[in-house]
Amino acid sequence: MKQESLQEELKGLSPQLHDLKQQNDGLRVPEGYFDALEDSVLTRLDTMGARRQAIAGRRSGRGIRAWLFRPQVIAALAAVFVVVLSAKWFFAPMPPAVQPVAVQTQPTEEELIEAYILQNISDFEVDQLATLSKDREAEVVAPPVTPQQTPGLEGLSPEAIELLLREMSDEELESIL
Amino acid sequence: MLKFDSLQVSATKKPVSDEQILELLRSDNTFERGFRLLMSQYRERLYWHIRRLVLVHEDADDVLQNTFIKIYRGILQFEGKSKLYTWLYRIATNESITYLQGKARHTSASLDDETVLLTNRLQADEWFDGDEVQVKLQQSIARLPEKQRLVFNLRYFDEMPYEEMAVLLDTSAGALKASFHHAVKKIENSFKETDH
Repeated sequence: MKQESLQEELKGLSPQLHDLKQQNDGLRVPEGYFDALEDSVLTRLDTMGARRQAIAGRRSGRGIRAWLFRPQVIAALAAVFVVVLSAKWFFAPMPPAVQPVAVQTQPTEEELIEAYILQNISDFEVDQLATLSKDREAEVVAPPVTPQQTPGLEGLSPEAIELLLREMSDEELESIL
Repeated sequence: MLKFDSLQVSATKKPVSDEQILELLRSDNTFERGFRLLMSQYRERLYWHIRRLVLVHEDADDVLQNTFIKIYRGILQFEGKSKLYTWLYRIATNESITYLQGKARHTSASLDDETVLLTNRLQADEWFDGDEVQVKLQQSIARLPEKQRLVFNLRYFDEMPYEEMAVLLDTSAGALKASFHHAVKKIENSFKETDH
């Protein structure tokens, strides 16, 4: 068939439509529409998961790898991990609650004695106070020893006893005697 | 007005052949680049083809995106038996017709009512600023039977040669020429009726 241009064809067929074709038809598109179209289509393909399928369909091995490294898949896996972790934490048996250490409110015997002495300090002689003080110091510095902790002097040789006595201070000797 | 023959890639872009695009689409590594090139090459041609069938920009955008999604999914099934743009046009045409049929089924309106609805929507479209004559032209086109309307659009607006149209619509060039002439006469009569 001989190629006939539309203009020639229309001129003979309908001069009115021929003239009308030269005018603007009034159909317009938003500015930048075509430039944004490619991304819109690819975004829609992403949303539908169709982009992945097309790639995966061609070579399954590479497709699965590509699919696994897609941001959506990584995000989904991360979300699942967080949910599993939260569930594990939520359903795990609770450790026994730590009991708070009771605050001792009752005064000890020593405190009572101390308070009594301080209250009635004028009733005591200085010697008595010194003895009391010494006793208390001795309690703090040298707590009473049990026979299991220190061997008795009976088991020691006379030389060892002599050496021990030499090393002892006058107060220690006084306290023993 | 957009002409079919002048619809090659604009002067600012380096022209890419269909073979180059198809070559890129065959490899995983270059598939997306190839698809972007395909869209960039054909988006305007396909848009205007769809827009003249559905008229309203919003609908045309929807149909065009669906068309590209179908192309994306099916491009590897393209065997190269016809030209690439013929294959793309066929998908765009099918999508447009399916869209219009779906809309007609939804409204269950008669052809006349449908035409009125379509032109009303066109006039309300912010992306249409045609005068009364253009509205009348679109109204007359909308009244044509589906196949005739398609032939008229492809020839009148896209200036597609009959031989290419024959491949696209799987019919003879002679039948298409006759169909176009009938359509032109109907539109002309429609104008005359309005004038009287």
